[in-house]
Amino acid sequence: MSRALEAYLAQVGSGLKGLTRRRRLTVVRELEAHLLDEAEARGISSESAMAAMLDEKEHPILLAEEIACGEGQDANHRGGTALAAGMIIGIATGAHMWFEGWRWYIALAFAASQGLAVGAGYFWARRHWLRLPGWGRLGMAVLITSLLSIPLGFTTHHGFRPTRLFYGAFTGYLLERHSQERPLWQTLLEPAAFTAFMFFLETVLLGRIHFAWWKVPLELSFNATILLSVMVASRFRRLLAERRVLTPQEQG
Amino acid sequence: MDRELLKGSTPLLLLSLLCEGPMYGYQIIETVRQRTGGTYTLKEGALYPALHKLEATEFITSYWETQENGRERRYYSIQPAGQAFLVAKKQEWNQFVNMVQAFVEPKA
Repeated sequence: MSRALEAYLAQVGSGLKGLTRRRRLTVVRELEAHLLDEAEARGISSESAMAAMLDEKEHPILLAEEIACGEGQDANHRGGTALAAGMIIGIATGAHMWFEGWRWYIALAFAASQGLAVGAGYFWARRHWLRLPGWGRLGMAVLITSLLSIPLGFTTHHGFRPTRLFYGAFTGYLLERHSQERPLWQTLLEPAAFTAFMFFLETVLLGRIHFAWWKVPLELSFNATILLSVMVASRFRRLLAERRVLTPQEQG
Repeated sequence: MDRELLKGSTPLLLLSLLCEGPMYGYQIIETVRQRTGGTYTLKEGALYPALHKLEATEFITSYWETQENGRERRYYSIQPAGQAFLVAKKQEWNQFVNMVQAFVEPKA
C-alpha cells in the first residue's frame, strides 16, 4: 500500500472516536477500498500522484469526525428503536395475560421475556440476515426468536414448558412477515391458524389440556394481541427510521 | 449549487441510485458527478455517514465482494423497506416541486 495512503488512513482511524475496534477497522477498510478504486480509475500509480490525490480530500481528522458522529447516532437509533419496539410487544402481551387472570408476576415475566428477549432481540439481530432471500429471512427469524424465547418457557406455574417457545417463534414469524405490506386475508388467517395449531399440539399431541370451546376466544385473542403488537411495533420502528433518515446529519 | 437546498435529500438520492442495482462508494460518487454534469459532488464525509445511516435503519444492506484483482469492495443494495420509503417520498417530492414551480415559474 502507498505510504501516503497508509498515513491518511491511520489518521482517519485514530480520529474515529467512540467506535468499537471492529467497527473502526471496517470503516477504515471501506475507505481504503474507496480510495484505491479512485486511484485506479484516475490511473494513479506513483507515490507523489497518490499524495496529490489525498491532498484534494477532506482532512482525515475532519472526515473521521463526520463519520464517527453519524456512527454514534446510528448505534443509538438501532438500540433505542429495538428496545422501544420490543417493549410494545412485551407490554401488550403481558397486559393481555394479566387481564386473562394470570398472576401479576407471571404476566410481568412474560412481558419482560417477550419484550426484551424476543422483540428487542429480533430487532437487534435482524440486520445480520437481511441479505438472505425471503424464505431464509423467515427461517432465521423463527429460529432466532425460538432460541430467544427460552425464558418464556419458565413463565408458568409448573416449571419449564417448551410449548411456550412457540409463542416466541410465532412472534418472530409475524415480525418478519410484517416487515413488508401484506394482504389482509393472510394477516387475519395467521393468528387463527396458530390458535388451531396450539390447540392441536396441547390437546391432541401432548394431551396436556382438555379442549373446551370457551378456551378458544382466550387463545385467539391472545394470538391476535401478538399480531397487533407486532404490527404496531413494526410501524413505530419504520416511522422512527423515516424520521432518522430525513434528519440532516448533525455535527458532534 | 446551494448546499442548503440539498440538505436532507442525500438519502433519497442514494436510495434512487441503489434502486438501479448494488453499488460501491466510489461508483456512487462518480455516478452522481456524471449525472449532475459535475455540479454536485458528494464527498466521502457526506456519503459514508449517509450510507451507514440508511444501513442502520435497514433501508439498505451491505456486503463485501472480492474483485478479480484480489481487492475488496463494499457494495450497498436497497431493501424492500427502502424501496417502499422511496416510493412514498418520490410522491411527496413531486408535490413539493410542483408547488414551488407554481410560485417560481407561474403559468400565465
